[in-house]
Amino acid sequence: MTPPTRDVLQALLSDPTCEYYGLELSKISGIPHGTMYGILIRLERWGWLTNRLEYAPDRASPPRRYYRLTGYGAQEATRALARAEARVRAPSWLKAAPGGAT
Amino acid sequence: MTTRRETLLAWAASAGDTTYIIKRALDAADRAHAGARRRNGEDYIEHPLAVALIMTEHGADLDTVTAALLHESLSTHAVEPVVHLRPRFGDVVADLVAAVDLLDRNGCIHLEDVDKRALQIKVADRLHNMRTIDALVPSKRRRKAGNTRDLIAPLAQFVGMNEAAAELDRLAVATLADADVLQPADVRSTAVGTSLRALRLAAVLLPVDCRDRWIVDWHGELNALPNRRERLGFVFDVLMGLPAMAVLTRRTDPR
Repeated sequence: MTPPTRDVLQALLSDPTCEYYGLELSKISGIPHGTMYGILIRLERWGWLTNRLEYAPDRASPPRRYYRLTGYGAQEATRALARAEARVRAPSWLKAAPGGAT
Repeated sequence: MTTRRETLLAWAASAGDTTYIIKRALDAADRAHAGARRRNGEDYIEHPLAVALIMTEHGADLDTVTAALLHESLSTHAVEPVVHLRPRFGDVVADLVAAVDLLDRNGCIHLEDVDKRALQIKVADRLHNMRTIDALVPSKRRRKAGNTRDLIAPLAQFVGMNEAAAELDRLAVATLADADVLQPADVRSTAVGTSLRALRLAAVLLPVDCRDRWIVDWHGELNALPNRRERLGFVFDVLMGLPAMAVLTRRTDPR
């Protein structure tokens, strides 16, 4: 999993039942929109993410798409993040040890 | 190229039209719309012909297709009062034409009380109008597209015309997302239009079937941004990510 994907998943998991629109996700995760749309496409394809269009009641402004984790997605994302974290921790521990392998 | 007229008459022959009801309705419609033109320059008769053909594609019977041919002859160039239709085309056709006419006049009706075939003609009517919506001025386009998305597409679903429902929804959303259709009075929206046009141009990198979806998304996002600087930043970001999106959306998808 790439770091940007991790950041987006973390943003989504901050409240797994909540719906986010693209701009919001990009603000929370700090990932540029362009990168994020690619991540959203991938997550949707994996079945982790679902979306819906919401229309403004006045019909004058354009609709917005909201994204939300699926139940399966929330489960898998939590697991994947835990795995990624375990991998990240090992080398930092090695580095922190005095005289450890470089 | 075969014309709509030829296609329809060929269909009538294959549908066992022994009383030449289609031919007679076509003559009546020709007279009703003689000399009239659609906004896109076509002869007006092309519209009822197109609607009748859409109905044949949805498995309609001879009476329904006849009513589709005559569906505008009451309202638009009123020369065929419904009493004249009854002896020439029968009660079913006359009632259907009257029902479609009533639908056009009266927005508030109970759908359960209306002949389903009249509703289907209404859907086919809108489908052809939406396919040729470019001929309308922006304000009319916006109104029609909004009404199509909110009322007619769900109506199509209700009468079992699922493919038509999907096409209506797609056409309506695309029309509403079109920068030209934005409220001219809304200064912010015209500002959005510049950014949106840039993104629409760039979206040709994406596969056709998902292009509209992302343009709608970007339109929504642009509209939520407060100023030009942030919109430009957004456009830049999206453009930078677009090659990756293009690859991802093209990758074969098992689902």
